[in-house]
Amino acid sequence: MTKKLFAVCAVAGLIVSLAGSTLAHDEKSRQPGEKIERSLTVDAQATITLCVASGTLTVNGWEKNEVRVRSTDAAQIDFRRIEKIKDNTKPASRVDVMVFDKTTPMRSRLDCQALASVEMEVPAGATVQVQTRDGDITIAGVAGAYAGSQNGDITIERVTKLVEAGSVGGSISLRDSSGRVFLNSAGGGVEAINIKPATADDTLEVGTVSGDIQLDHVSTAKVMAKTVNGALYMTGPLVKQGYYSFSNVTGDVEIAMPRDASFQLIAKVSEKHNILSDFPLKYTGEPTPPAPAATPKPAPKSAPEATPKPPKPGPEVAPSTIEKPVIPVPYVPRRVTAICGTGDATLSIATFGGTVRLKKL
Amino acid sequence: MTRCLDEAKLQGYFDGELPIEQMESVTSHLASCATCAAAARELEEESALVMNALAAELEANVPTERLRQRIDEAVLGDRLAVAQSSAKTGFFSGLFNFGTQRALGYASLAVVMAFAAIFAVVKMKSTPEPEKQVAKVTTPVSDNRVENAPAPIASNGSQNTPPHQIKVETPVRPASNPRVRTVKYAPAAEPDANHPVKLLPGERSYLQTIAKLDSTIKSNKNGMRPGLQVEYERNLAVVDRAIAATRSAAKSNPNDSDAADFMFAAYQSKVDFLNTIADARVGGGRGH
Repeated sequence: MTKKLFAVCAVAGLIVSLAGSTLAHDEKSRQPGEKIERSLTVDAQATITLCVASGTLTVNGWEKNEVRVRSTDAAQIDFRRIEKIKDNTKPASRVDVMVFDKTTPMRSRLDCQALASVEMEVPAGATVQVQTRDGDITIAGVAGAYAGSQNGDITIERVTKLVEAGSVGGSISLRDSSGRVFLNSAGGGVEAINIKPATADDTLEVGTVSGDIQLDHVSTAKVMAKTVNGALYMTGPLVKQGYYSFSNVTGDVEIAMPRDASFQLIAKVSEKHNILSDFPLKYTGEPTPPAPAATPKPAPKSAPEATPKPPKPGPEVAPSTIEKPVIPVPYVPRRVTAICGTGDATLSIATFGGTVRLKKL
Repeated sequence: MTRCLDEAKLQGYFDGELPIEQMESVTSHLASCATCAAAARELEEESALVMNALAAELEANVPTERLRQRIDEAVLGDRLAVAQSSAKTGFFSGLFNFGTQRALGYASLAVVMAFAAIFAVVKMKSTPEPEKQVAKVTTPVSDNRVENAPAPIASNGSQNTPPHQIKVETPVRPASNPRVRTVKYAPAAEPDANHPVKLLPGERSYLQTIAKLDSTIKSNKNGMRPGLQVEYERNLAVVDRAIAATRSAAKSNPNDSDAADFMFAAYQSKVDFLNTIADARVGGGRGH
């Protein structure tokens, strides 16, 4: 009995020692700083996801129907096809890029836990979903981009159809892109420069808590920007029939437009702050009478929503033109409805503790 | 910033038992005091936990095992007491120890007396009562809940139902065990014709949502990493300040919808922010 037990233990020990030496050999066979590279043929409009715990992620679109992933920090890179109906004769249409780091081989088997910086090339028509906890993200030249980072900065360029990016502490920069855009950062600033719509229904939504928002040459017809403690800046021409909604609690709102800008202004400001306009404004309505408060969306039992109040007819409502440029618009009431030119676009501005500036470019 | 709220006040707030002024001040305080907000969440969670644990027992109409046991014990106790008293009081036991015929006689007498009593009551009711007395009875029923509630008694026209029965139908929970109180909020924030609404409609819903999100964030066992913690606290302070400022303005201008809009926007920002943090803590994964 003792002999049998001894034999079993000896065999088990031999197996364990052999396995350990093989793993060690695999680890040592890779030189420090050596780059791992993996490739996979994919559909031209494939969806590719990449997720790590920490590290810089860089994604570039290219003209090949192939995904190429490189990393110097990773121990292993795998592709996982996640199509519902797998057909190995066709290129992959949905792929998870699995990155395992080499510092903690056992733990890294969990998804999204690798500590590794990764570079990736994908087809230009692909949609990428990229996520890192600590690290910057750069995406360029793809059709769709979803990007998320807790503390890193996100930079996105030349995306053609869809952009969604979110960060807790990092900043977000989007340039030269088109399509539907949603950018949100709690503590970082957000800038969107040279953004166009891909379809007529496309919108641009930006939100922060304490970061500033900068919109520059945005030609999307519906733009919504919201911040709590940041400033809002927009520069560039307005889209005819466009709708622009800006709101913050503290912080200024500054809109710089061409001299021939035509817009309708609906502004809500605090009594202690001004609306400064370079543009001649014509009042189109008297201050609206107080109305019951609109109940917010999450409220289960909603009070009747505040309905838009039509301007009162009568002699007081006769439009008055402010001829002098750059003067504080008198606004004893806190709501101002005015028009500039023919009122093609609509500017809806609400700032509780900031100043509204309408500047000429 | 005033000093922190005690537990009794918080419990009263959740139960909707505080006067409207205090409700408002507590809400305002919770919006600006992280310590009290955390305490409120804790209290709410505890109450919810207990309510969930006892839900079956509280909602069931049939007596539970525990109740049945208590009744059995009580009955048993009574029997023992009767047995003991009968053993002690021999004279009185002889007095009430009668035969079948005497029992029938006593029963007949009791029935006659009961009929006489009923007849007397009906006779008294049929005589016209002064209107003032009815008004007196109705006056104390002018509770907010009762006034807001529909009045089926009046529409049915059943005169036999005294007005004070409305009050009995109103769910009033005993204050003996504060842990078992429901977390469901009383309709104190509902518009009331008698009292000007100070707690704006929907505000409490935001506070509830915020409390839930906050508890979700706190429930994550893994500690928040320092970088995220810093951003969380910094931005939370920003949002809380915004809520306090806008709320103050809304309070000063109760009929101004714009002021309320600013406040709700600030609340919504906090909800959005907490959602972002909750998502960040969960990690999100690849999202498919």
